[in-house]
Amino acid sequence: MAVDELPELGCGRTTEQVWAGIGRPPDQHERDCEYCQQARQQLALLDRAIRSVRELAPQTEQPRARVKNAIMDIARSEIRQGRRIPLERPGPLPSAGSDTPVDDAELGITERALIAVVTQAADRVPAARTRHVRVAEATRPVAEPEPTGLEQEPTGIEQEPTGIEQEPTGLDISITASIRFGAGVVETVDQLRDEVTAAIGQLVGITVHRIDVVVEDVHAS
Amino acid sequence: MDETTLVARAQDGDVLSFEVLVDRYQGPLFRLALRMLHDRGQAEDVVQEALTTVWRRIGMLSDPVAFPRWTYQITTRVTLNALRSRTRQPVDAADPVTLDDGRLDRDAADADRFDPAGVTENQALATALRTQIALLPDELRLCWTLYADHGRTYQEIAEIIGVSRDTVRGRIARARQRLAGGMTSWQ
Repeated sequence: MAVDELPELGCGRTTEQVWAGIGRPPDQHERDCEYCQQARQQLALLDRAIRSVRELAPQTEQPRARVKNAIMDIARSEIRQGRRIPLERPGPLPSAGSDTPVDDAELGITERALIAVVTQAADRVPAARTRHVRVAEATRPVAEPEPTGLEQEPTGIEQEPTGIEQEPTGLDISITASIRFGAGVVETVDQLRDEVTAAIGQLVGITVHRIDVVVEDVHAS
Repeated sequence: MDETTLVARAQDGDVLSFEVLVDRYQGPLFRLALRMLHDRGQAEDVVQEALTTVWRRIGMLSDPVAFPRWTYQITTRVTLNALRSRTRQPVDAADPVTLDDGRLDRDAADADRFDPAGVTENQALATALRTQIALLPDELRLCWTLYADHGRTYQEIAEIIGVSRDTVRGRIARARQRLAGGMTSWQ
């Protein structure tokens, strides 16, 4: 519907115009116009009724507790745990026939649990509100032997990049946060890094390789 | 905790932050659905389905600041689906009080606020308006409720229900005219 289809009174004014004037004395036209006088009377009553509804509604209309319970049951059952990050690397794989079973999938922590540890630690910094947290295993290529100058030219077929063996170097963490207005950004970021590094070391036992902090917002105290 | 932070944490899978958002939104969303459906059970079903959808899709929300509008969008869609899918109950237009008045009284009784010996003028006025709102066509009632009860701007309503801002403005003006005219009989 176009604006020109706004309902009009017999005098040509719209009810929107009259509504805008409720709460102030009538203008010259409104004092002389019977359409506007009637509309003002009706709209003033509507205004009172709207206020009455606002006063009564908030305390009387809530869903029963079972609604929230059902929502939260579903939410908890569908938590996205993310990937599993190993807590410690096993040594060299046992040779065939070894009696010692090693299951390197046994010791691990989910990304969700790590994010919870990071967030809880970061919340100890009063001037920061941590928003997004990302965690990832940091790796580096396994050191190769020093070149001898006698290697064959790479063909591009035999030496695919995916074949390069990686070894873990710890945990890469990235955090986005809002900083309280007036707080020193560098000091706050340093505190965040200290708290998170300490918590991951004490509670999880993984070395922190790197913590990136992006200050994306500033909030009032 | 500010809402942007809660939304960002819920996006990362933090159930406790999501629970705070549920606490904040379930009442307003319930009142929106109730205003449209006039049935507490159905309105509760709408809130449950809408907020469950919010949890499942919150990771796809690119800007946490858009969370209120996005949540209202989902709730409005679920509400309109419920309106379309149910068998419409016949309404006796000559007795509009059966539509909403009894419900308001029950709401008040639920909260131990209903005093049969002395219904205040405010309650009577509110009941009269509720009755008139219940008689509005669905599209006008939806716009009016988002505007008057939920404090949404024309632009926000346009984005929530997927029409132009001018269409919203026209619907609210027509709703206001009908309500003002209908209230006359109350005096």
